Amino acid sequence: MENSILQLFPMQYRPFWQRAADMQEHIQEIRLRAGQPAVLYRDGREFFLTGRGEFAESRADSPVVTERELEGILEHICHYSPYAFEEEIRRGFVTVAGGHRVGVAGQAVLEADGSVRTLKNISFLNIRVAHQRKGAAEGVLPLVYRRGVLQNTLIISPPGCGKTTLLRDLIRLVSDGNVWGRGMNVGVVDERSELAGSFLGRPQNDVGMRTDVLDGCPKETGMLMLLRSMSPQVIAVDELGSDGELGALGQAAACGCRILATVHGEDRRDVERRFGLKTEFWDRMFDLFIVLGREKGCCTVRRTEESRGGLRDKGE
Amino acid sequence: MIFGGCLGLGIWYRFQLSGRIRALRALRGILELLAGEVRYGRATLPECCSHIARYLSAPFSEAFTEIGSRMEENTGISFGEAFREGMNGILEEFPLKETDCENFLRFTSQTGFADGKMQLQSIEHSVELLQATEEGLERENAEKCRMAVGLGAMGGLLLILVLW
Repeated sequence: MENSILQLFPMQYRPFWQRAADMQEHIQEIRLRAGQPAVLYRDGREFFLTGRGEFAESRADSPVVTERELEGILEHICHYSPYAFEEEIRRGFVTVAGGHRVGVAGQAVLEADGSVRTLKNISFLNIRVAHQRKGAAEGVLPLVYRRGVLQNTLIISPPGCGKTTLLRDLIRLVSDGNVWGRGMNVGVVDERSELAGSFLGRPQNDVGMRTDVLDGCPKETGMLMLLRSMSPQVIAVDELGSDGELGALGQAAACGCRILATVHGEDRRDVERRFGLKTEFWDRMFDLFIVLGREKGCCTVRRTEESRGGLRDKGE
Repeated sequence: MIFGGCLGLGIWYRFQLSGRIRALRALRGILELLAGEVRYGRATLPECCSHIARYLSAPFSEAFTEIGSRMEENTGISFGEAFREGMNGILEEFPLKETDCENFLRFTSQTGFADGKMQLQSIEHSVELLQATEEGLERENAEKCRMAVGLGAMGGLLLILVLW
């Protein structure tokens, strides 16, 4: 993945972006807006690029990004075939080689029913640089396995606390096998291409050697498809959001699949309130709840809770 | 022997005339395969090249594989440039006119459509241009081919008479 952000740019822009690409490990985001200078977020701080591609804190020497440049970059990202990325553009982002996500915004073209048909005059690109953190889930492995058996686990976390990062690494460790359990066949329904970061159907992130990924498919449909087609031992999904998804997860559990899932929320009570489902439902579905926070950076485990109600506080 | 040589020359010329038609037909077939990949597979243009390479014969199969892998390497080159560079050496091997090559490569400068139908239309436009040239040539060549063989035979006879 080294320098893979350089590959987002057509040849003529590469010398300008070379310096930024050399620091890819430290870059979180690149924001390109037509008529504005490029803004980069490096180690959490905002930077501009000078005409020679050097980092600067002031925008004084920063050239503006032209509409033509944006068009060229988007066309290059889409392999000169934006029609093949119609669905992704409609959803507002394209996942590219390296697992990076390019968010797009411009003018929405609507269908008669008010749904978004496509985006035109795309004038804003937000390149979110992918950073896979291998080893992020090693700390929770002793909790996730009980006597060598993988527990049905729900990761609860507010936005930006690393639930996707944790789940991705957990998938990898479960799939490859680890000191706590043997490798298992994992089926991943990656609706927003965030877990595997698939590009043209191929995972760009390491999600383990026994992992099958259904990319860009709605979670509810995808889980049932995977159950029928790939007979996974473990089903993993990111960001549960509807009762239908919980239903499909229930079916997977009933088929004997183990479950790894994440959900937005402050804690278990918050999740229960949001879904309007009773505590017993969650206790039946999951064996372990991991609540994340940001106290000590990304993927800090604030608390773990077993389904029987026994609380185990653990700060890592 | 003189008669045979002249007749052979006429037949060779006839073969040359129909060679351009055969080449045009091959190019049209390639574009139709590309259009099929865009229509049914919704594949990107570089992917289409890699896919159709397996249905093509040499030297096109190697050239299309090369274009696909070159784009996959992502050196920053545009699809149009990669395609033109990949094809230029190959097209020279065929008895094609410059306009034929331009008609074949025309779609490479018309990429970046958000609508798949538009991309298809640009490929199909190239197909139509090639087909029109092919049909025009077929009409012209029927007469020319007959004449080439006839002239070859008559030239042979004339030469024999003169030498005798």
